Amino acid sequence: MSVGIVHFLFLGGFLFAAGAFAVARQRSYLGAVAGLPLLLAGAGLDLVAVSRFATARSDQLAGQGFAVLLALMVFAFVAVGAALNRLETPR
Amino acid sequence: MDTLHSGIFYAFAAVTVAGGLLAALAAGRPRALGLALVAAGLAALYADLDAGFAALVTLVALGLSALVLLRAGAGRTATALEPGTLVNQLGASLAGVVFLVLAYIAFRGAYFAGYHAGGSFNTAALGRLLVDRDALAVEAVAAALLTGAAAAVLFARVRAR
Repeated sequence: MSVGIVHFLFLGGFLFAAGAFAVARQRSYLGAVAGLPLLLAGAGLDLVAVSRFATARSDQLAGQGFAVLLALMVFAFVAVGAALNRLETPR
Repeated sequence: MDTLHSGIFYAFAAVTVAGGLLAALAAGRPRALGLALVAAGLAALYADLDAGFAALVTLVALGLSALVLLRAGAGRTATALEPGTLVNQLGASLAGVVFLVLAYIAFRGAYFAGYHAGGSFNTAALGRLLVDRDALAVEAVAAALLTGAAAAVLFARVRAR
């Protein structure tokens, strides 16, 4: 079966929903922070897939650029969340 | 896409799904391992989509995030999954609804190749959009985000005392 944009969008939607589930389900900082990379990874995968399949050849770098930005934002969010978790945890 | 690309997609999609489930449902070290699996699977999928630089950045950024989570969660028990309140449960159920909506959109959407009506969409155009035409809105959003981040840090410090 040939793989097309729908397959990537479905996988991206799953990652986004799994991240939203993790953020909403758990009360601890670390639990919520672990969901943020999944949320943004799903969005990034959709951006790259749409730029690969559904845009003109010259516009493909726009989606990839946003995916790179999202990946860097993920690391910043996780670092800040881990620091907040450290502050919140009683010694 | 040919058979090779299809095989690569299904293999690494399985890795990504397994990692996503582990990261969303587990706690402690398995959660960091799940995030590392998502990083590996996603990087391979990006590479399969001819996005090599995005694959590299994603692998490094998500891999480092998994390491940070592993270090932050060190010393905690792996069974520390906290069920949360009714609002948390409601939010988790809404996440399932979000997945259904996204899956419906993915299957029913019509996608075509074409140029953006507003012209070329590149880094220079984005810069003009953010610091020229919509500068006031960008400043407002940045101020709101900065205020929220500062409030979160202050809140955490007060709770830590």
